[in-house]
Amino acid sequence: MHHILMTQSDGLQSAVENRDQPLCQYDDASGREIVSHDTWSAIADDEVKLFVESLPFILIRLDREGVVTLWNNTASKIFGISEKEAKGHALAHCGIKWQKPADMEQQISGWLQTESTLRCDDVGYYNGGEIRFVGFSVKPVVANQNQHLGFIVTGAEVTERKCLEEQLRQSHKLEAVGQLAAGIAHEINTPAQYVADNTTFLKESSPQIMQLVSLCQEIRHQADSGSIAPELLEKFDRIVEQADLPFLEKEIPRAIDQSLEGLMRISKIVKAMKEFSHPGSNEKSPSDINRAIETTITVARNEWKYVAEVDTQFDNALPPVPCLQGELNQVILNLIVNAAQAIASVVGDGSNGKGKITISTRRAKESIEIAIRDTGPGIPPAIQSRIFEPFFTTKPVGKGTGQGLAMAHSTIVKRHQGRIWFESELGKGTTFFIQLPLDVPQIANTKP
Amino acid sequence: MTACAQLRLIFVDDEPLVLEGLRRTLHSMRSEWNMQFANSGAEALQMMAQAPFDVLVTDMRMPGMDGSELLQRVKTLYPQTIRIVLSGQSSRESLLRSIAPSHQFMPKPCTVEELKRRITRAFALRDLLENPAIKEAISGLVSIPSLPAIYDEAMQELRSAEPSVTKLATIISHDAAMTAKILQVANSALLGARCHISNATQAVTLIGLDMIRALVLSAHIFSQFNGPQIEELNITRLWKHSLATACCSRRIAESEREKKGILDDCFTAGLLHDIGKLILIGSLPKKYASVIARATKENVPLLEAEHDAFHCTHAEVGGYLIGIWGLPHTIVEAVAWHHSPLFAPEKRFSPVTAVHVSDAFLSTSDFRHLTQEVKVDQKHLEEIGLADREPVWQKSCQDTVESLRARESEV
Repeated sequence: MHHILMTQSDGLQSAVENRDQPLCQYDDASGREIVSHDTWSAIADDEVKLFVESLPFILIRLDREGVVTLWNNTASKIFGISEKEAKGHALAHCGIKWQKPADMEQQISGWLQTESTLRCDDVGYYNGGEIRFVGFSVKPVVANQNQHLGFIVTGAEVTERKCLEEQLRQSHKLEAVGQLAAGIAHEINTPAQYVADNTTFLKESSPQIMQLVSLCQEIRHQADSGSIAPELLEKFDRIVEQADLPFLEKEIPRAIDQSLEGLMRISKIVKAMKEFSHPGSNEKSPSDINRAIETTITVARNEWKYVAEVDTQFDNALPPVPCLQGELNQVILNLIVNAAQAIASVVGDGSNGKGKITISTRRAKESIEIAIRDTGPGIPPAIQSRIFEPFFTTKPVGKGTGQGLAMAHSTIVKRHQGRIWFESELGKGTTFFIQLPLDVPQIANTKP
Repeated sequence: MTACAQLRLIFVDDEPLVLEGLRRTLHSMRSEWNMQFANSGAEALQMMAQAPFDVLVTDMRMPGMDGSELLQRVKTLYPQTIRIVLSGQSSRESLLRSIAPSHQFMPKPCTVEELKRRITRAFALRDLLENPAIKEAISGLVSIPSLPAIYDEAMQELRSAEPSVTKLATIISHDAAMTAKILQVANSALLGARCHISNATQAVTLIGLDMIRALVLSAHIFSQFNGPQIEELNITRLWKHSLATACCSRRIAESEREKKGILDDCFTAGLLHDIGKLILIGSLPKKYASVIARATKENVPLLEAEHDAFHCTHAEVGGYLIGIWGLPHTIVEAVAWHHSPLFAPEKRFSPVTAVHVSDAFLSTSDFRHLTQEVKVDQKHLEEIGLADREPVWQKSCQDTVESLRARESEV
């Protein structure tokens, strides 16, 4: 399923880029034309006008102050605003119901200062009550003698692409959960087995103990009245013998301790699962990275415990990091599972000693850094440059989709404006590094 | 039968707390069971090398030697040991890996009552077989051979582009060998079914087409006869006889106005009653052919000829196998006691009665397997107080045979 989504998403992406391509060329052509005719209104040529109107993407011209001077058909259709309504107004206030009007106003004022082409992705707006998304490319038009003629804004609606991306992310999340489900079941079922066994044991031994207690009371009662019937003492001895008291004395406290321990283990993993599958929010929120890593280690325990020890070296003074926690958890999960699999290829089933996964965090100026080190075989230099490519995998068919690291890369770089890289030495192991900025602008203008 | 000696059990798990829990809660069984606990496959094998064990209960996922490897080793080294999986992983993959080397599969968490019940049932018939060679051969069986034509039919359906559950279930539910195997999987408790399942169609639906396909194609739970063609064995006739017994037994239960569950039990018990013959034919075709030849030519009762050759009968062989496979005990008993219903523990109408009466009736019809008449045990009918019902049952069998004949002539 997500293969299809991925391909579709790629397809859409390139479709948008293909659309942008001729547009940029057109910008140049029109730019020159403007120079020769001085103003847009001079393009009286019906044919050219028809071409402009027929363009399948948004074409808007702004003057130097950001006021709309041209508004093509596609723009009208996409925003539900006619050329007449839009013309003469500043783009920020031309009637488009932006999802975040204040942000947009700030953005557009940024455009007016630019000297190079800007891209502005995934801008939310409402049309007919529905939220939709559009992507813009903004280019200043400058004539020969540094004469600033305003801006060409091109764009396309990307709602569908954005939906697909969202679905893709969801399907990855489901895949990760599915991958973990069997392991988590095992982690829960094992303590559930011994908690149940111990509780059954306590249930079965308690009637004997209660019987002894009531006999004791009876003996006490008789002792008060002067004499204890010998039959009563005989009965007492018989029950003591049957009950195997030394066994009960030794085993009951242990049964209770181990049941409690089992319940702690179950509740720990259930809690970790809940935290791990953090409800997907599209807003970054300050998160405790150490705790997120700890949670992910717990959730993935069944994936590494047979082949590796996990050691954490956390910087306890780490500040909260603005991030999409659910997505970051998945990146960390991916790296832990990869590390465990790499180690398994060296230590086999773990019977002759396990490997080690070391996870550390530290603050580095205006960012934080996570390092995940394994004692696996290392990544062969020949494939090092390819590991973040989508669909690149060295795992056997059915084991890996080749999406893990590609997804990790896009999550860290695109969604968090961070960096992800690795160092690897054959025969020694690999360390993956993630760097996340502590100060992230909400919407980033990225240069293409 | 010899008196029940103490059973020797070994439990294997990499989690010491699981072993401690089991040791504690099974402490009350200490007079009947001698229990040992091992922390790894290697430790278990060491302990098994020192003294034989009757039962192995093992976890699947363990560091070092995992459960499926241990089961495989024990199967080769100590085939008589009953191998039970107690796993925290209830995934398809885990079942696929353990179905061939194990007899039963139980998911964690499982109650101690369930564990006791399964082990006790598996051993209810352990003294039935006195011949250790036969016992070993049976304990090592992964599948029972089916008629090649029926096997092909099932494979064709499974391999077709759009296999139909209904069609597949029909094929399986008419074949003793495939039904037995499907019921083993369905009753392995893996699928969360806590009640017993004796209806093959229900079992097929419960397990699901994908899983059955995987089990058949990769774990090879079905197989076909590939031994020599020996006329005496007459396996086609045996197949027809089994199906007819199934239909007659269900009809008899219907005449007793039994509930749906009992009707299913009777049908399946009838279908499986001669599964011991299939096992003997599959494992020792020449020897079994000579037993049949002796029985028919010298007019020695078949059970006696079997006993002379193997020290056990086909009824005991069949009952023993499906017993260790964990099939519902009503069916196991009906298979084991269909020639000697007086041994059956139930002293009222049960599948034992239905199968016994049907088998006897069919022995003089064209749906018999061999030309040897089997008589109804009147003492059994008197014991359960239903001697007066025999004529009604005869009529039920008669009707069934006629409808089977009609269906046959249609085809």
